[in-house]
Amino acid sequence: MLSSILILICAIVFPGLIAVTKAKFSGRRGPSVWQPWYDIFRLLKKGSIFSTTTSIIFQVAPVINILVLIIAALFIPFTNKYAGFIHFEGDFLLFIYLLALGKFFIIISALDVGSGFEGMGANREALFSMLIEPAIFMIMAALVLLTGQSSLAEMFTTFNLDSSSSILFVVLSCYILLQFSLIESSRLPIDDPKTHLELTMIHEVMVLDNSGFDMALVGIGNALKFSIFGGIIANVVLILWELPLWQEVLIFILIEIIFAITIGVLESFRARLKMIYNSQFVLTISGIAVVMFLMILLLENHL
Amino acid sequence: MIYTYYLVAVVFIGLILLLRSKNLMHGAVYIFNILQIGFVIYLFQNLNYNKVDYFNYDSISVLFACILSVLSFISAVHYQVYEKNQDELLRTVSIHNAVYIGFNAALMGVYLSSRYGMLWAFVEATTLTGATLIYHDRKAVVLEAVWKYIFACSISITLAFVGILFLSVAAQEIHLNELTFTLLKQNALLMNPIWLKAAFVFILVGFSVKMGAIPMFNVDIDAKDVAPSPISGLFSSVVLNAGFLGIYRFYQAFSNTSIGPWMNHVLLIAGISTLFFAAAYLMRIKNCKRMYAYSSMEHAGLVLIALTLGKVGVLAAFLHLTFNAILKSGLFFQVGQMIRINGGNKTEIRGYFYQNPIGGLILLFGSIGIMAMPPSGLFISELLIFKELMLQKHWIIVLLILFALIVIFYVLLRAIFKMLFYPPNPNNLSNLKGKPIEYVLQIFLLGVSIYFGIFQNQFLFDLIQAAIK
Amino acid sequence: MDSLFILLFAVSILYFSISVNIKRYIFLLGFQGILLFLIALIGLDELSYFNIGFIAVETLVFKGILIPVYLLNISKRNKITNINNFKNHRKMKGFYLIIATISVFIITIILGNLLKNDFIKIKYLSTAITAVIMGLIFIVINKTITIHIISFIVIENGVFLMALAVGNEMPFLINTAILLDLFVSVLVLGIFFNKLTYHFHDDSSDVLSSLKD
Repeated sequence: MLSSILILICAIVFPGLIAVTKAKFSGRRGPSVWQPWYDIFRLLKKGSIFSTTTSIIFQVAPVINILVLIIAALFIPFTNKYAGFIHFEGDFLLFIYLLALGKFFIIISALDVGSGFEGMGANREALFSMLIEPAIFMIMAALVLLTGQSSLAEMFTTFNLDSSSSILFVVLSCYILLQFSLIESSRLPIDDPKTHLELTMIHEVMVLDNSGFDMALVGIGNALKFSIFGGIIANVVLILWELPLWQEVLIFILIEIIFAITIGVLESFRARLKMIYNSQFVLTISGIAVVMFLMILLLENHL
Repeated sequence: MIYTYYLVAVVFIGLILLLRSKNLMHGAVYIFNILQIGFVIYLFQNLNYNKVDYFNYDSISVLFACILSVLSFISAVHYQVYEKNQDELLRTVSIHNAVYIGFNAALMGVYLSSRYGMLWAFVEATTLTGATLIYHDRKAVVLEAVWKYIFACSISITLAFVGILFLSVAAQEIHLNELTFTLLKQNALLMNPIWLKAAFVFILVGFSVKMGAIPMFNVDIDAKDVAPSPISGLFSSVVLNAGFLGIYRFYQAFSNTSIGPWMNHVLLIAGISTLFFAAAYLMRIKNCKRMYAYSSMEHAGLVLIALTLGKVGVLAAFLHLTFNAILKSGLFFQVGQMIRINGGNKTEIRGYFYQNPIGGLILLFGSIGIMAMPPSGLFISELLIFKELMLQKHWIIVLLILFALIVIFYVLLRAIFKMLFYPPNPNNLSNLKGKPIEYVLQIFLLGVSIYFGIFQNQFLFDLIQAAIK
Repeated sequence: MDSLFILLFAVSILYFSISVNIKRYIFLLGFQGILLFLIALIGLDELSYFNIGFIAVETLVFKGILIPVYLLNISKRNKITNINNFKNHRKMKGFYLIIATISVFIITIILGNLLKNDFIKIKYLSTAITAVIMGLIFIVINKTITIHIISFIVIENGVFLMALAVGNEMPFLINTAILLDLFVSVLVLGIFFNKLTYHFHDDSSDVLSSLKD
């Protein structure tokens, strides 16, 4: 439960931190860290307008998205001390599919609108999600292989750095998770949240028709998603040392902040890829995960 | 003695780079070649002497070394005429002659080395020196061919090295720490066949570029096309032998193990496809040098087929290689002369017989010889191949080979008759004449081939028989 | 630790597949050279210090520094920056190359495991064979001479890694592999590649098609 609360807290500062970092690197003074939340509160006060062509799916999708993300956040354990609020054998599968479910609803709500642009965005989002999916599964599979457990909490409890394959896992999984979170939450280099041309947008174009309250939910969802991935990375890093609880909490928050700043820095120095190269870039991340998994399989003599 | 040979080679390379006169340079090359012939005589006297660490004077290596020493001398004579006609710069001749000696030394190393690592390193050295020899005429098209040759050679040599690494894995499994050919043969039955199979495929592909066989034949043909004719002659004789040796050393060691039949299949496929590719490419040929280059490819294919036929086949393969080397190099020397007389034109040569009757006769008899018609020595080896194929009842293979050979005969004959007896091409007329020394040497090579074709020389047979025992 | 470096080597092959920028390719080459240096340092603990020093100098100086710097100079001189500038470049190539790389890696790992023995390290061998095969594929599908050279050096690196896999018992094989590297760097790069880029100012291999039957 502790980690879920921490993730929710971090999610509050996450979008603001990224924006501030980007502003600083481009030489602007930038908005306040809380600016994204002012926007969200402004939107929450408003009502929603629904297009007459849409059905019930369009109306429930943002709510479902935010709900599954909150439930997913409940799965994350806090290092090896506290298990997640929900934990059982094989829960990592449910965790991954909850993330996918939220995405699925956003995609079908975009298709529900019937707009050409939104269909295009949904198409791209589905493709990239499909291509990146193996990466997260390979990370989880490697974790299962290394620990012999199938519950997220148990995995983090039994994981240790004794073998060379675990070092290998920590290094590469951090990299893969960083890229994974960038792709999943539609940031650079795949998608530019600042872009204003519908043809090149991916995620933003899918929520063109959402307004008011729904739009606010989508914004919260994005922040939450980042925070969840940051939480996983923080966990992977934190199990390397045995520390007192208060230090671990501090480091958890610190890693989340560093994660946000890293994303900001990466985005400042990166340009968006050409659309044609996106799929191969995404596939490379999955490829790295597959290669890592195979190598661990080889080192652990499971072949 | 072998170390003395390499010392002498280094001294001569240094000497040639220091000399400032073309004639002196050629003189140095001749002296080196004569010393090399002396070295080969020494090898004959010390046959099967294996006290030297990295070298081994068995019959195969001595036979090939003998061919190299003779052909190298003749090629050097032809090169002197070639460069005099082209009026080359002193620097070009100096580099060429120095590298030429290095090329000889590298080939000698390929023939005499007693372990795979050494053999591979010397093959690499032949690429290095050979490419420099090809890059004689500094033209764009030559650069293109050299680039392709170097690139493909480097890749295939790397692949051959991968094969040797696989072989070393197989050797390590039985605690063998050196890859000498005798040790490999003694321990052949103990090795893991899967690693050996992988090694054989890579070695075959890797050395095929030197042999001019499938799959890497293209660059070899290009190289023979653009190189000076004396060098082309060496490429289709002694370099082909070197590539063959790289494959044969492996085959020799493991032909009696469980992978023997499998290797035979692979070689048969490689040989027949080489033959057919040669036939197919020959159909639309215009360039006379490329034509003879493809003819070398045909013989490489036949040799690979012959290798699969047991002891008689191996005898036939070595005879074939010997006669191909003698005849083909002689033909290339004559072709060089023909191109020179036709003003550098390679494609539209007509009526050569009227321009130069002696050269025309040499070309005619040489070409008939290279088509394995009696009295050429190639006739005997091809007869042996066909006899063995029929005795072993490989009828389909006999038919396939016959078909390919008939196509090649037809194409070659048509092209040669056009070159010799059609009315001369007025664009190609020039007043150049051949040099008597060239005719003498070419007729010598032709005569050697015919001599061995008519009188079955017991010495040669004994040498090869000792090699394949 | 050597597993991590070998894994990074495999990952660098993946990045070779999707690169379009010559600078990126050259950077990856240098990266591979340094990785080979680290792998050799860790992996070859049974060899003599002299031999290890020789290998270290070869990998770090030649593969890690000299060859990349040289290639960088050549590409600058000939203004070769991006392989997309060439005709006939297929844009989706990287996607299929990634799939090919992963497939080759899976196949080699399975094959290597079937042939397992005590004298060879499968992780070295499968990564090395992947590098060799992918290098060959890069050469076949690209039409840029610079990329041909770079792919060839990838093959070289793979072969070097393979020599390391069997090298503890047979040090002469590693020395031969080094010989191959020197040969390539001096001959292929130094002499003829230099001449070629000097004579033909276009980097596409289309200029090399005047030889015909």
